[in-house]
Amino acid sequence: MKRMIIAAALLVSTVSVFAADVRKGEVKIDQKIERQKNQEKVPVCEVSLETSINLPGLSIKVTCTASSTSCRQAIELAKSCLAEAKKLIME
Amino acid sequence: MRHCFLITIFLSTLASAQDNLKVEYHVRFNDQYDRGRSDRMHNGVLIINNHRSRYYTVQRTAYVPKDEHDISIMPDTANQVYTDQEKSLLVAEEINMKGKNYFITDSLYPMKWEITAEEKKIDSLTCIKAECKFRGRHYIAWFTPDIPLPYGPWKMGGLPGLVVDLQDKEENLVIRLASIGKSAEMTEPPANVQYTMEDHVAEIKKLIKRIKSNNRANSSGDCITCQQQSKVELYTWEKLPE
Repeated sequence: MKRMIIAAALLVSTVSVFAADVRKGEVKIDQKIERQKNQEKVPVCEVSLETSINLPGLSIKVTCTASSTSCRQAIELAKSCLAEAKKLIME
Repeated sequence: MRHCFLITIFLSTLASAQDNLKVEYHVRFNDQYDRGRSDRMHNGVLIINNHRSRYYTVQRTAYVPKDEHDISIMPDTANQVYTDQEKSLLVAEEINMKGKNYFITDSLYPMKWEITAEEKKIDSLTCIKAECKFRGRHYIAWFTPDIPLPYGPWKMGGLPGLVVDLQDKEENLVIRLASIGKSAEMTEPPANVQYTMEDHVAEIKKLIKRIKSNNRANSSGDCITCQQQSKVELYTWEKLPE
């Protein structure tokens, strides 16, 4: 967990195309996903996490993708989205 | 020789009301149907007694999750299906997300079989090929008029002979005859099953809708550059009607 956050924090300072695995999710900073903020382009961190729940004859796959200028925030957003989806499925 | 042996068992089974006919199958099922390949072996068991039957599978190898996000709820014994020909009843077992099993009523052999002229021998039994489309999949079955009973594995049946071999066209599900013998296992279906296949389908659709709408509602509003998206994919062996 700590390693994930450190890795994500390091990525914030990198503008070049870069990708790193965070567990099953992928964290990347990419020129293509730069967004306008206060009239200037800023690199955006995108995190994608997925989970599958498999039953005999039925499978549900949820993929949560979150992005932010803060990688830490993107990871937290994706994780909370996934946790919420799991909770809904399991309840 | 084996043919004679099988028929002898079959006839003697019919002669005794206390014994049931037990048909065992080797079952190969691709857990990643419609997405990829991950085949596992199971034993399939079909018990037949007069006008009733019970089918179930027992896994021979356990499901191996790809990682911690790949959650599986796969009981050892699954896919139970009871039929009662006299009552024109089919009761099938389902498992919910908490791993608890429950039963639903479903149509008894609604599939429209096309019986072909193709014949072959399976363990010395004369078998005839039949095909049907059932809930979004194309099935190929081999039934034997040597055992003139309308039963088969899982929800398949209604042919003029026991189904001894079954597979879907993509070979995600392959069921092959292993043996025929006797058993004392009972075939009594669970009583008072009120929940129907339609209820079951409606429940799954409701769940998917809830996950989708919840994730839309959860999009963050306190961060200008933050964006959140979720994608929900549902894969069902029996394709859900629109």
